[in-house]
Amino acid sequence: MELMQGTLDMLILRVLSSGKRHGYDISKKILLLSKSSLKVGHGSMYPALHRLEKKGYIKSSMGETKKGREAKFYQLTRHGRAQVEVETQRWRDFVSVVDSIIEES
Amino acid sequence: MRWIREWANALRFVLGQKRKQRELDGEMRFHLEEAIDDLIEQGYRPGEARRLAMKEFGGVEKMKEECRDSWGTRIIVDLIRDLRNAGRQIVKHKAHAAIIVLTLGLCMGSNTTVYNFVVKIVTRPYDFADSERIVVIGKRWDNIDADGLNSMSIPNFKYIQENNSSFTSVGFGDQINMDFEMEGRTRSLSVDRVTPEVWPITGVSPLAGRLFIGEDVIEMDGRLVVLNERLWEELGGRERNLMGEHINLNGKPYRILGVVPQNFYLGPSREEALIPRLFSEAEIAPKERNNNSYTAIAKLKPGVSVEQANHDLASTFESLMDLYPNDKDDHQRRGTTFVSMEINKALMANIQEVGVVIKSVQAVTFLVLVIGCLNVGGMILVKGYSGIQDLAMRKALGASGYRLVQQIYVEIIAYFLLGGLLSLLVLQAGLSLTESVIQDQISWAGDWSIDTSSLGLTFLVALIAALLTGLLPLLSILRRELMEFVKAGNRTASGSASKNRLHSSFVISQVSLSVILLVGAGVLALNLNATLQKELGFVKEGRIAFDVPQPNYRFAHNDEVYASVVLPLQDRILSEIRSMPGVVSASASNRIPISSYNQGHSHFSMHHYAYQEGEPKARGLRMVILPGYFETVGTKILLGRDFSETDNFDSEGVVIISQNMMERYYQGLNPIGMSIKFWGRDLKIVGVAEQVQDKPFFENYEDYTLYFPFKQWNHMNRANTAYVVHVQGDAEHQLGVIEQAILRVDPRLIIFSSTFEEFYQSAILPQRFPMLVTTFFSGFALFLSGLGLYGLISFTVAERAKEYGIRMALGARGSRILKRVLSGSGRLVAGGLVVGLLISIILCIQLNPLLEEVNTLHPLTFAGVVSFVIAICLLASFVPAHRATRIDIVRTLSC
Repeated sequence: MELMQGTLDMLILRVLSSGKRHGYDISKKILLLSKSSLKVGHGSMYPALHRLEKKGYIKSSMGETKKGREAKFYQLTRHGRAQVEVETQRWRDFVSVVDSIIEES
Repeated sequence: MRWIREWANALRFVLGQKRKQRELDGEMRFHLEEAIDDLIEQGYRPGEARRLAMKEFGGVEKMKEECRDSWGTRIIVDLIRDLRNAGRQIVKHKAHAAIIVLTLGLCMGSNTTVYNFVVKIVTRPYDFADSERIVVIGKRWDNIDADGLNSMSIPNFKYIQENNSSFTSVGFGDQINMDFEMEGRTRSLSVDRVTPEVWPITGVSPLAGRLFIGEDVIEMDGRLVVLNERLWEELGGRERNLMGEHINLNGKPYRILGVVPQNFYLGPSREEALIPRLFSEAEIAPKERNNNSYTAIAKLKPGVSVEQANHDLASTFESLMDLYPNDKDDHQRRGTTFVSMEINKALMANIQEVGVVIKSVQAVTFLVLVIGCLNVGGMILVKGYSGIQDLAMRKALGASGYRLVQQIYVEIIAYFLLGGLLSLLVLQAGLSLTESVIQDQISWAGDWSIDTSSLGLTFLVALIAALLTGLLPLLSILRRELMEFVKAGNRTASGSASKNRLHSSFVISQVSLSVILLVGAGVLALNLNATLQKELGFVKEGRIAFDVPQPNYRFAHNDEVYASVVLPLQDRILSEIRSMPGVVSASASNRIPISSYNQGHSHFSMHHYAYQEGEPKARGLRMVILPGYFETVGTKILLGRDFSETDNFDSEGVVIISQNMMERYYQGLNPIGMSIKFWGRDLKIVGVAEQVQDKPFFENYEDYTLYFPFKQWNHMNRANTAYVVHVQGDAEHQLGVIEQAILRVDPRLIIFSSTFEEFYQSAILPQRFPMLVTTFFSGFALFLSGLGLYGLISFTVAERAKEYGIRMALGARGSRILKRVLSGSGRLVAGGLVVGLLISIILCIQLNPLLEEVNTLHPLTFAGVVSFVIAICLLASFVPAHRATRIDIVRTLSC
């Protein structure tokens, strides 16, 4: 399933709400949670991460992985945590509106 | 707050650009390594795992680009890159860049210099805080001069001060010269006499000490002085505290109270000190209410416009008229009212000629800037074409049109900004030069430092000119199918005509604008020449003048002192002068011809002539002279005789009239022996003097001149005596020698000495100055046009090198190639000449009625301009044309 436009940011924020992760981990987590049904081009995630960082929703820091590799870890900021709720609510509203239209017709 | 955070982020990203880039690379690497590891764990071979990981990831470069975009710093990064590139280009093409920057620096510098003139001389000569709220108050006679502002009387000022609702305060100031004694020498000091209201009105703050207030003035009986910074420095104010010390003015001590900045001044000349203005009982007496010799200065209340204030002043005048019903008729006939005018506009209303001169110079320099920009546009075009393959290559590699535009514009703007910096040096030099050359002629402009607004203006002009200049060349380059250039590579043997069309039109425009400027310079030269040819009615060569004031404190202005002190002093001084070697003759008057000294005019009537209803009464300039005056200055007596020693207080009143008066009122009559009525006395005409140029040429002056003997009028002129001397040999040298001789008679006298030649030069300055400026700039414009033509022809020759090579290989002779190149440039010059001449002729036809004494369509001007332009253009195109004949055939064809 192709990812709908504009939803990647929300998914990333949601995934990060459970804690600090690096880019590869985030893409794996999305794939895992969607039971491999969402096709997210790995590369397309990085511009989204940088965009979110510039907006101040997430911040990054260098750290070490379990395998001992140096990686860049992302985590939500206070501002980002609030944004997760906003984005989730917006998505739910959107889905319910679309649902009701489908039901009505 | 959000935008602050975003900007802070962007700034952080820009500053950490390299680190960011490294992190991004590391992040990508990490992602791929992790993905490969996972795939290997799933059983893929390393090579296959790598390929698959790369595929899953997508385009790495594209992704990096997107990341960089998300940082929001791309524009800045690109700009920095373009600036570096522009810097490299400028260093690489040093000569090319130097010519562009020099051209722009001179053109923009001359414009900002003239802009500074306009600000300092025309639009804002008084640089007070809130100067738009500061007004001059005077009288206006609606039925005589509805736009002017004329002086009013001291009682009028007092009345307005007490009866107005539009002004925060109303002050008064007038200028006098006072004798100033310092270290045993006496010199004349230009002094402002002001009421204390002037300080808050102008907002001036003292540099040292304080400014006088009402109580001080009363306490000290007005013996207080505030020094101008220049005088304060001269007196050693920088080294020691002068406050509380005294200086001697007109023989009385004045206590120094404070210092004002050197650019603070109120009158049309640069005053050196300010003293309190006290009004005597006689001055404020109601009978003085029509002695209109002064203006007041006031500050509008916040929010009150000049129009509202004038409305209020009109009511004030009406209420004043209720007090003096007898004046009503006269004032109604003239339409008199009080009026206020913004202080800077009021000054310019009095010196309109100067404004016209400066503004025309501004137009000339603007034209030169246009020519300069056209020139630079042409050079950018040439450079653009030579770098076109590079551009085309970059476009083929994916650079957007927008990026190319930005890159080219950044380079152009860099040129203009460098030109702007150079123009500031030109501006500084221009102002210093002006200060040293014409400061005395433009005395009201107090401060010649750079006006701060012109710095911003310089860069604004640079930016706008850069954008406009770059526009056409850029469109011309981008319009073309750049790929064609790539495909064509270096195989182009002949330049396409269309490619040069724009450049050619630049050159044609430059030549035509230069022609217009040159014709303008020619017309101004003719105008000056016409003035120089004018009959002066006196001889300026070998004539010198010494104007000696007779201040009231020494020469009490009454009849006895005049007869017992002033007249004998004149005799002693004249006999001392006459005894000097090299003196041919000497005499005296109250003013020097052609100078702008104004010694007053009076209306008079003639016994034989009755004025018609509504006919203006004849007005005469009052000249008081001693016998021998005409002989000394070289003015002929056309009829009758000169005055003699017997024309004195005991004999019949006599007058000598001017030639224009005889021609106007005595046609077919012999005026000698007839009488005029002047100041209530009947005066017999004893002579008619040749017409003299009494006032400077620019003053529109059509009055008559009446000459009176010193020894028949003891109250016509007591303020000064102007001694005129006819000398042999070096007049400049004699000036100093005779000045010393006068001081021997009375060492306390103050003497303003100058040659007639100096007065003459001042009188023609308003014509000479624009002529010189226009000539200089039109020469510069022609030089630029020549440079533009040279650039185009050089470019064409370089581009057609192969064509010429082939032609010469096939047997064409050098002279034929030369002719071919020159005929190409000839067509451009001819085009420019035709356009320029046509526009010039139209302009000259418009100008003809304005310059009555000059034939603006004089064939000599046009012939001169045409031959000059052809000569310069021929020279500019001959050099590259000659180069075309020297082409190395083998080398050119082999590359």
